[in-house]
Amino acid sequence: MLKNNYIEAILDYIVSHGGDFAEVFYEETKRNTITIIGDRIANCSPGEERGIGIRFFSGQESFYLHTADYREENVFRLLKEQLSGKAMQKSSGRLADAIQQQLNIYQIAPGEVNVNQKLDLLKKAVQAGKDEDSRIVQAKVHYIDMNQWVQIANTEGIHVMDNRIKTRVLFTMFAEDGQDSQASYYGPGAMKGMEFFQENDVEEDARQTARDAVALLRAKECPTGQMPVVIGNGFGGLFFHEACGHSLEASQVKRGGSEFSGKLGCKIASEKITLVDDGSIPGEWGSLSFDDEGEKTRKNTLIEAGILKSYLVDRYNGRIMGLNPTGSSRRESYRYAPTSRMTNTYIAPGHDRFEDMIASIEKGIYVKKINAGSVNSATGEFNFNTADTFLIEKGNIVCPVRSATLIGRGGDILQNVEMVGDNFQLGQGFCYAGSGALYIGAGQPAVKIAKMTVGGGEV
Amino acid sequence: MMSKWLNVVIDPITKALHESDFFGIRYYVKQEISESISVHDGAKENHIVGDEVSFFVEAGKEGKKCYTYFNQPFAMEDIVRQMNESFCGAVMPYEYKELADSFVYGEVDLQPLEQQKDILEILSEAEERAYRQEGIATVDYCGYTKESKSIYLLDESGHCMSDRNTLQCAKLSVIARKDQDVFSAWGDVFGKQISIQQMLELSEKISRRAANGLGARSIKSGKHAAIFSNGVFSELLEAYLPVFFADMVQDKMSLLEGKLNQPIAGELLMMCEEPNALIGQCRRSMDDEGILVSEKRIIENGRLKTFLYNSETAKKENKASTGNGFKDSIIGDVGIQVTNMRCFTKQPSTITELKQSMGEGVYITGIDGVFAGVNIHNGDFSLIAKGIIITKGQEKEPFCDVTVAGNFFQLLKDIQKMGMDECCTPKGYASVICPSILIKEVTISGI
Repeated sequence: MLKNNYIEAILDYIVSHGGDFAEVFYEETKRNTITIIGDRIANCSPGEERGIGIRFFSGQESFYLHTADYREENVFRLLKEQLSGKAMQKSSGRLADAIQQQLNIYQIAPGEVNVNQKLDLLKKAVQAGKDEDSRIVQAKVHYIDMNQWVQIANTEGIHVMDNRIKTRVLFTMFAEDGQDSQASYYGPGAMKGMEFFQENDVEEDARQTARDAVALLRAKECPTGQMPVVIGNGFGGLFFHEACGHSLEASQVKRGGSEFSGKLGCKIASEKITLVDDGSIPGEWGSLSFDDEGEKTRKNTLIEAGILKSYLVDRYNGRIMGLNPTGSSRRESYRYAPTSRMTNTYIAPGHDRFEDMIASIEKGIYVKKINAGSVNSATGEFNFNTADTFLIEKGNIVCPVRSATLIGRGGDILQNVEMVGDNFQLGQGFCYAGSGALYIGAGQPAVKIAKMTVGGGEV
Repeated sequence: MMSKWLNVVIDPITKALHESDFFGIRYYVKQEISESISVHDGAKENHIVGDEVSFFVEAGKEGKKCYTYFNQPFAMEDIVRQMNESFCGAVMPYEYKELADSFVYGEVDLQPLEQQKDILEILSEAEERAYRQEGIATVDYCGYTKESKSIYLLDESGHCMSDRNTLQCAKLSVIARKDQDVFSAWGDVFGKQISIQQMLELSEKISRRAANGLGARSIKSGKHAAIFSNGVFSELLEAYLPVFFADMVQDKMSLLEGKLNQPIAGELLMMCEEPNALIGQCRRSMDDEGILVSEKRIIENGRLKTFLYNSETAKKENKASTGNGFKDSIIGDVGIQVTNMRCFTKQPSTITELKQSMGEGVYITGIDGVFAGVNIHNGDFSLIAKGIIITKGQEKEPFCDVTVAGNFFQLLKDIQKMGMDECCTPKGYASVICPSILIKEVTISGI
């Protein structure tokens, strides 16, 4: 990691050349990625990268510079290209020693396990998926483990180090029966080391993914139009991640860029909805001890019983909005300036029963799993694509249907949440936005929406 | 000269790897110098500068292929350790091929953005122009990016091939409001150089598009004849490009397996890879394996003529690579990608002719959620969409808050007419150039 006097020299240089805030972010990341397709190892790649990102503000103007060459002569060459002129007599002050808080209590670091052991585990899982059903024509697994050390210091006295270890597998199973072709996905992960494989039966995960793919074969067309929808627990929480999560990020909210701009304290959702973002949950995929500006992560209640209580605020956008940071600033790597993003975002459990949700629907759909989605925060238009989807008729789940995209506007849909279940679960995924690809958690209990537009194929 | 610097850097790595019994060492080095500036209310808002060099090395040990990536070329011990870790899991045989020779293709422009004449003034003018359009409430983003990329391939025999280019891109995003009604639009323009005129035209086009969308409402669900605008068809085809890649076919993940020389689209459809396409984003002369890129017909008069290969997939079929070996990122081995993919027809129609031919239907002008809502294995898609209702061949009124669903492979067969109004996918996507198309039928889900 970087020495204190080097960081001080960078911060001093910026402050003495007109910056009113400066920050240094240094990163060392080791990754292992493995892709197995059938019996072929398509990729098995260890690697390591290091780099530095330097940011400063002058009023509402921000500057960010990133480079892998973090040596002093290179960094100051780049800084001098941007900040020239006579230095003022100003200093950032003495930097305290870094604070480190180990939120991530892992047992077996990924680097302690031989790659052949990882390959064995993954090959067995892929084979288990392939053997589950003769209609499985191809099986794929993508594995990543990451050991990231970050060091963050700024001119407001923050100096922290954080170690993030992540492990994840993503299974894809392809099924064909001569008339139809379907695929199913499942990607469990955790802020854990290789003990993840002891705590999770990945072979059973592969088998279940295979079963899900086969079940989709000969699925009927999904109905089309507006109808009630039940969204399952776990990664079904991606629904709220898209419907309102992004629209509560300060980077979207500032200057009226979100449908929820200017609505703090207002009722924006059904009173059944309490939405939380919490990056401090030990061991969860989307967790980290400090955010990527060095603020401690915390539980942020964004919506409470339908009332908007907080946005997700990073330092730069907080400066524009006059709000304090909420420990919600993230970036994929040193190559990105940080900005307000989600960590583990979930709907708090309610008291309704899943069985009652299904029983209450004359005709609608049940979305057991979600693939992915996106949102236009300015208009609130969001969409998500369903994975395992089922038709509900006369209060019963009757048959699987092909996947479809469900759409709506966040502000409208949040008001249409009728029931919130008691079977909470947190799922794992990735989010792709302005500051890069991030590991995120998304969770909820089962939820019933009174009415959504379902983009099926059956009219 | 970058290559001289590179030799100074990599020679010690080569020596260290030889000492650890690695042979046939080849490097892929990517240098990226980027700069972007954005404005807000006429003043500079964000300024980002990047200066990166990343390395990928492959070599053989005991006949097996090993590789790793790094960006600290002086951390010798770490590099050797990572290569030995790769050896532990290596199963593929390694065949060392020397680079053909030493070539330099292309050139880069390393002049800092702020030294370019009046860049902030141009951005401010573009922002101000957007606000002149009635209904525009916010210019969300108005910025300019310049990226210079240099790819170097080096082998232990001292050969060095490099491919370099600079791309400039201007992007604008606006929000229109009227009472409770909101509509947004964004777009970009890119090229080796961007003119003031291009920036200002972008501003006017995007702000007009946003303002014209105010009042859009959802429409009744049903099956409709449809025109997909050039931008929509480009984005959709971009999502399905992998079905033409040999690795997907060989891994039994593409429905085009076994369909060479068979009709897979309407007879009017031609699809070609054109590395030199003027409006394309990509400016490469060689692929990431050092093989020259080339023009090729993928679909000719509706028939599938070829898949796209890198060296590894070509070898499996005793073929030559088609020069489509490209790396997705520094992390993994070479995969498959295109330079510029272009769809066209020999007898195109104007957009007015497409509308008149359709008569009654929907003109889809925008889609979203493509990365989630397409199934590249069976071709199904279901996407949030917006557009304009067409009645008697004329634009009637805008619509939004609908989904459009169909099947990509069926859509290719159902193309009835194609336009002459080509456009390219936005920056950040693979470079795909398409005109507007008229198709038989899609399913719209709305109210």
